[in-house]
Amino acid sequence: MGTESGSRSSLGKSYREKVLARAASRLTTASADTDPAEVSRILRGFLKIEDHRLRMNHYLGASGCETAAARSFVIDIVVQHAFRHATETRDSNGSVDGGPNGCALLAVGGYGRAELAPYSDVDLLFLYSGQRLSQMKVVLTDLLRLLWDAGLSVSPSFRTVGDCVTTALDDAQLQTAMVNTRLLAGDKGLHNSLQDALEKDRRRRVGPFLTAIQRERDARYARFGGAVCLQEPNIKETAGGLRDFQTALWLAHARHGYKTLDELRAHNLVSESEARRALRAYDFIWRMRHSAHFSRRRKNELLSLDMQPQLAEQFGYKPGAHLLGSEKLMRDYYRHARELHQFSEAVAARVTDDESRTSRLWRKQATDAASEPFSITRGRLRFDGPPDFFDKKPLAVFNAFALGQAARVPFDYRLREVLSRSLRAIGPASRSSVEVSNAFFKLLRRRGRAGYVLRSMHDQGLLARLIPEFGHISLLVQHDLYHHFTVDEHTLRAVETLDQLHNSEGKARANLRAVLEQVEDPTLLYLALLLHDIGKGRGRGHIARGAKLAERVCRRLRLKEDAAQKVVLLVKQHVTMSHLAQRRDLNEPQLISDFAAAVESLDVLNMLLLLTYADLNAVGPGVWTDWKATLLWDLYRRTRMQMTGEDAVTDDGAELARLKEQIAGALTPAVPFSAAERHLALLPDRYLRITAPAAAAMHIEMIEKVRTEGYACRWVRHQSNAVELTVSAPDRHALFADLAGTLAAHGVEILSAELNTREDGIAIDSFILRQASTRQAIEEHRYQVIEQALRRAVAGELDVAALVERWTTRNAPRKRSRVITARRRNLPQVICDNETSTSSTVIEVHAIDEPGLAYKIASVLAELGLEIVCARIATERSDALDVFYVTDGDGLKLSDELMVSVEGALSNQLARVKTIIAKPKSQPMPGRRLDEKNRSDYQALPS
Amino acid sequence: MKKIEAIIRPYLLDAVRTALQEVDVHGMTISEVQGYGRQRGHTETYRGAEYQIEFVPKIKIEVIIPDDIEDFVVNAILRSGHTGKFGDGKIFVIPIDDVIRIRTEERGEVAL
Repeated sequence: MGTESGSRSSLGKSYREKVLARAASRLTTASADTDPAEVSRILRGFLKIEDHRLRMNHYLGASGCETAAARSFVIDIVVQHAFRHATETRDSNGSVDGGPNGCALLAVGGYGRAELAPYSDVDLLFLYSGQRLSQMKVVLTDLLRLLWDAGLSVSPSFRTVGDCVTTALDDAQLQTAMVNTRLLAGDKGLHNSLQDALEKDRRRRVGPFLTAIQRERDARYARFGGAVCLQEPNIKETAGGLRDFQTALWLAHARHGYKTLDELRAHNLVSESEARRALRAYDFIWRMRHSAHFSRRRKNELLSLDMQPQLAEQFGYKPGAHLLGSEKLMRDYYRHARELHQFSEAVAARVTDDESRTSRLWRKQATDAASEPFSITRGRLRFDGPPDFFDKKPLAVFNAFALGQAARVPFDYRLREVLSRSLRAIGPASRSSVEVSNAFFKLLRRRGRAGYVLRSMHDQGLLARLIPEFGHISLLVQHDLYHHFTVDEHTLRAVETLDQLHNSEGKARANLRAVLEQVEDPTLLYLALLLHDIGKGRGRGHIARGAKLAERVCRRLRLKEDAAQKVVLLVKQHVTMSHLAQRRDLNEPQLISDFAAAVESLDVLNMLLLLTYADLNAVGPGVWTDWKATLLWDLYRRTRMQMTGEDAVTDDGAELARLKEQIAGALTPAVPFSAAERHLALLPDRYLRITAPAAAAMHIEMIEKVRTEGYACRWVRHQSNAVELTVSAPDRHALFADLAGTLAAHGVEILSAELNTREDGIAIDSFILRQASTRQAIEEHRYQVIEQALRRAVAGELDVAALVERWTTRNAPRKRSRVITARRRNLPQVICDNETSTSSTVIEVHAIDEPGLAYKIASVLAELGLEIVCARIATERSDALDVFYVTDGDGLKLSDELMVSVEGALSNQLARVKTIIAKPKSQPMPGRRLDEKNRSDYQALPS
Repeated sequence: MKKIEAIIRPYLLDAVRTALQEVDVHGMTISEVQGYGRQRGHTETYRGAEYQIEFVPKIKIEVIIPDDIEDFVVNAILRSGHTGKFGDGKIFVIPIDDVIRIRTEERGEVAL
């Protein structure tokens, strides 16, 4: 460290003597007659010289605490001089009788501790006895004017002793500001009575004081950052800042009345080495703060990125082979800040844990005999074993972490202390033992809990013991304006991101969550995430270095060969996915197949997607965007398709665009291209996916006809045994039911149907039909008759129900024996769900096919007032698989009650058929396979 | 002066930037944007659940140029951002009244 060079005593006793000597010679000119402007000018001159000397001493290496004390000493002289002047002036004019009696000038806050940074505010408390109020105010005004004119920023307060105590009741900041007060001038008795009153008050309200201080601390963390490793920390307020140290002292004061670190040490609240380390860290951070003030020449507490290189140079940090000077500086800063933060937490824990001693009833509660000697008390994992417990049973260390992980509780301070002593036992031998690696992997296996345990392992230093390579990236700064956190913090945040994903609910990121659940072994994913940046800070090419190190770590942890390969592969490819997704044309089939080959397996692809997600998220806020998410998902989906062949129906933008061009090409020249655009824009995407371009072009032309005639229909003969009929008309309630009924009444079977309704209300219904009697395509001479009937049905001129009834009674009985065999399969089945589609309720009907079935279902839906948005009717041998996308009359998804009544009505209506047809003797049919095939067809339905 | 605003495919950013540098455009603002035009977004199904991909990710480039090089700049983007498929994006040309460099308060083309 280039920071602790230089003479420690440069600001010691002899320095103070010199300051006093200079003050004596420069400040004597001020007498009662001197013009106040002259007094402030002299003070300003004195401050300027002393400021300069302090700065010189600081740059020459004076310790941080000494500089702070020296600054405070200088301010003391100035304030006392000004006070003397203010009171003497009034004296000579006879305005203030009896001199400064009845008032006292106190230093409070940081100034009260005799610690000031060069441009800090000077907190003064003007204490008065409550008499001669107007005269006191005049003295204070004069004093403040002198000090302000001298260039100091003073925050004054003006109170009686009683005021101080009552105001402090609900002002935690004032209360802590008065923990350390110093009498600068005036009535000593008044100061003593304030101290007595405050002490009395403290004893009475230990609990509220502790709570108030802790609440204040939490608010500070929320505002300035509760993580030590912020890229731009606030030297005073961020976790690990100076305030942490002071908070620890305040807490100790609130409980025990101790005011200084020495007292804490003397009463054994902290150990000798703890106190030494904390003081060293405190001093380092103070030096940083002085520099931050000096280099900006103002009160500046932010260690900003642009200032860090400057400070690094000042403190003599030379750029190394792999690290910039500023990165080394910040690493030291974080190390000391972490020390302070841990010190603060430890003291806070001891001070507050103390309470439990008074209430022994709490102890031992929730103790599990199996977890001896650990127990969970008051939200902390407590340890009641002997200090050498872990030395005898090193693996019990992992028990402690597993218990903490399971219950999500932090360790109490005794456990921490015992642990940190015992960790030294974990050396190269135990690091590579089977037991240790098994215990470690067991912790990683818990989906959604890994981040928690890894962070506490890291805080305890176990992670670096277990994986020394991880110790190397600990507190490692990345000055690239991109990463907000040190490498270890980034890594832990990445793991926590995955945990949050696992524990999240709802639609957001549901796709990623689904991928996470498919990961075969989360241990590998977590390990890869832990190691992904392990090559940082070792020179260029962190990925190749990282992969090599990861290999070593895997081998040491005795990971199986194939598992280790996956981990190494993930580390090696950890930036590939975001790189490809953002910089390459994903339409290139070669790119996708190369990438698929590089990741080798679907499992690795799944893990890589999640690793990329976690990595980007942990870089900093706002780095993971919908924009990146969409691109990444696109790459993932294409690669998964390449690997598995699933999702053969392509649905990506480019493919859609190609189809649009084909549709446009199939249109007659009279129809403009924009008509095709408009047509597709009015229909759901699935329409485009399942409709051939030529058919879509036909639809567009039909719709032109609907505009003029209100109806259009086309026959297309596909195969010898079926014909396709497309009907287009303005949609209305029960339109489909009427069409299906009319067809049924003409002895026509619907093999399948596709219903689509444009957003402008024009329905396009396509049917694949055959003649029920011949099981062949409908003869062409019947087209005319059917068409006429349909036209009248559309216009609402037919009593469809009566027609169907007549046809059924005349023809149906003969047809039934064929379909009986399906009844063993609990048909009909009706399933309604609101999950599959974003805008409609999906009703799946699985039933035995019969003439007029589609009509029957559709009319039930129509009777219930439902609107069919689109539908797909399919017949597979004797089974009908009908899927309807419906909304209620208001275009909304169905309510739960409505879904129940739909299911009831449909089952009822269709079951009636079943009872009729069940009369003939049935034979069991080996229909299982068929059934399953149909189920899967169902699920493959595009939505 | 003109502002040329171009919506392009993300992966073609480097190509377009190089092409712009060749016609002496040295400053630009880029943003990650999402939207849709003729190449509409789409819905996809993954494991039974539906994901709406409503907006397509694109890059928006903005450059301010003197009037006389407008054609070169537009051509450079056309050449480098073209694939011929749907979704290549669009170029907007917008007149600019004035440009002021905040540091020096220079105005007009010198401030570009």
